[in-house]
Amino acid sequence: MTTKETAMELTIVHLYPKEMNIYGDTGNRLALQKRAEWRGIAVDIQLVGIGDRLPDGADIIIGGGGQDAGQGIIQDDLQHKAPQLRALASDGVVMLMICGMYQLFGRSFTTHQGEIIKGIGVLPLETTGGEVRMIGNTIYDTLYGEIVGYENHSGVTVLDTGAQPFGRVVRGDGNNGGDGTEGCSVQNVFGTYSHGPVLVKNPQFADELLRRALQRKYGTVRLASLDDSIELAAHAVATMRPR
Amino acid sequence: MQLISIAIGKFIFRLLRLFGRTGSALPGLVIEKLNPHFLPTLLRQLPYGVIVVSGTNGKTTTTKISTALLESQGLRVLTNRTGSNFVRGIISVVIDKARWNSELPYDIAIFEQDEAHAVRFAHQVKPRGVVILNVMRDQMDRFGEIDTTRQMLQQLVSAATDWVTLNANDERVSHLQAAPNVKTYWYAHSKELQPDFLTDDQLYHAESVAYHLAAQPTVLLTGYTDCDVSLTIRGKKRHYEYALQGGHNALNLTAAMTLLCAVVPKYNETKLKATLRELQPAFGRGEIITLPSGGSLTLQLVKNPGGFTQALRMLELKTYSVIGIAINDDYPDGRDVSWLWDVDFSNLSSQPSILCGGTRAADMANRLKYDDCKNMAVEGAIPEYATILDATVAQAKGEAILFCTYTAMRKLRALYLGNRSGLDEEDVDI
Repeated sequence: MTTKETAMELTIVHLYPKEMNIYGDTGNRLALQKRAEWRGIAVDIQLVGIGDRLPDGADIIIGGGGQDAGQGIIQDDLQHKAPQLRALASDGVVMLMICGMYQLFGRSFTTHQGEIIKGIGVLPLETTGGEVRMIGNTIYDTLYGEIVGYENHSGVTVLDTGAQPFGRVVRGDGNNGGDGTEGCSVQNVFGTYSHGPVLVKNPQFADELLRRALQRKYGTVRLASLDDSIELAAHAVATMRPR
Repeated sequence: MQLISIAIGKFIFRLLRLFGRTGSALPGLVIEKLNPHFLPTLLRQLPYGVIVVSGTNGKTTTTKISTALLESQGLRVLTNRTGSNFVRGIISVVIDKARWNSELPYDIAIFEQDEAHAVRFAHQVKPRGVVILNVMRDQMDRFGEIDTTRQMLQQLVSAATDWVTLNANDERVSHLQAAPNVKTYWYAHSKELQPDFLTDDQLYHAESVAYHLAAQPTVLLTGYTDCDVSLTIRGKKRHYEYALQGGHNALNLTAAMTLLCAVVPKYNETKLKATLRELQPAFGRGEIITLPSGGSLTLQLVKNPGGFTQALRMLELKTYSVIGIAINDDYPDGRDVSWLWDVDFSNLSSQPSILCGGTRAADMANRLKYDDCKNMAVEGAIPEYATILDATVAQAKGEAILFCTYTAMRKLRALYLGNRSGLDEEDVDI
């Protein structure tokens, strides 16, 4: 049985929009919302901050990069939400975590000063603060095609053996500037260092997230195609700019 | 050693001018390597000392207004007019303006500096006064994070020997601490004007637009239109004619007036009034230029979400028939264009068309698409974009405005004004 797009709806949860929202990552929310609405799919946006309850029925959960201070401020609250987030992740809820939130979805983040911030262990990885900031335009090769973005982090992330990276680095540093991996994915949970914001110039990946969320909720779906000529033009330009 | 340095520096200037170059950083670069004590020694002559203006947005305009206000009171002011932020740029200015006998015929120097350069400068020259305007997200691909920026400004404030001028509305700025014997002169806008001015945190947490006032300000901005401004200065209400556009420039004026109160407490009101009436915007900061085909274009520099958001409010004060946005991602602009997604463009959605230009024209058009704008024209190459914009303005026969990043502004300005641009292309060094 297939449901008509016009009868569908999605609940998108934005985690810590105040504390973790640097480098335009809020654009990911807008990309998901608009690309759903342009197809007649209703979208309910829920902003979830410190002390707020995770709403029932979340279909997509997103989180952005933040400053070190932001990570410190949210860590206790995140631990409080951790059991629920872990349950939602294993239940197949689609999640996209960028940079700082990506790090905290791993097991731990050890800052440059040696302080250990506990992660929630959804992704099989650990991060340590490095001395060198990894900054610049990026290109990754992923299962969802070529992904362009911009990275800006000093955290060095190492995936567990056998863990699935989000992609391979074509240009840039990715997880650690050494092993060529970038990001991580487990089931429907994606973590990446890519700002840009990552979904706006990589519409095929934005649609992949929407498709997975709708599939989980409604069974087999086919997304109507959109005119992505502007998105793809911006993508093409990004591949040609200096690091 | 100073005499030799000046001679070498001036000689390089002459050589450069022979080849048709004006205002280059090269003499400063050479002397910086040759004689590290040059700058502090020369600047020590100034009876009123050195003032540094820093912060994320408004440095150039505030420095320009401050210079005019101090000059109105008869002071001879040395300044880096082109906004050349590097220490070597300032050394070049000093070499150019010093006499051959190393005398510096000025009373006071006022230099604008971005956070990182200001710290380097203050290591060499202790500023008598420091003005900090605001801390917003800007160029984070260079400085890392906004808290790093704040720490750099703290180092600068700590270096001030006599006084600092701080924005009492900006929480990050108002937490900066000057040394014990240093006097703080605050400036602020009134509570009624709060909706016009969002600080960085307010920009990102729409629900917390509480009015912040760290201390009683020396100068308070209470109102502005496109032709005047109302201030309360040391408790007295004042009203001045002045023609710079936008609330951000009114607040820059407020900062400059506070600086004037710190440097010349008993200033002459009549001379001040006359100067304020004649103020012109700094280049590319609300500057109105005449296009080759005769139309007029307001150039408004945009560098970060806070500044762009503030600049878009200019559209509420005036109707423009053509709107252009030119976004470059060269080093001085910041390589990362993610910040465009932190600006709300939904008030442009009713525009019939928007001309997007610059290396990241497609990114800009894409950004506008997601705020429901339609009919974006995209031309990445600046020379072609300049032609299209000129033709569109000529056809529309109304006022036009262009929001542009730094290098896009410099290039378009040079293309439109040619020799009249008054700036050397080599100055692009922020």
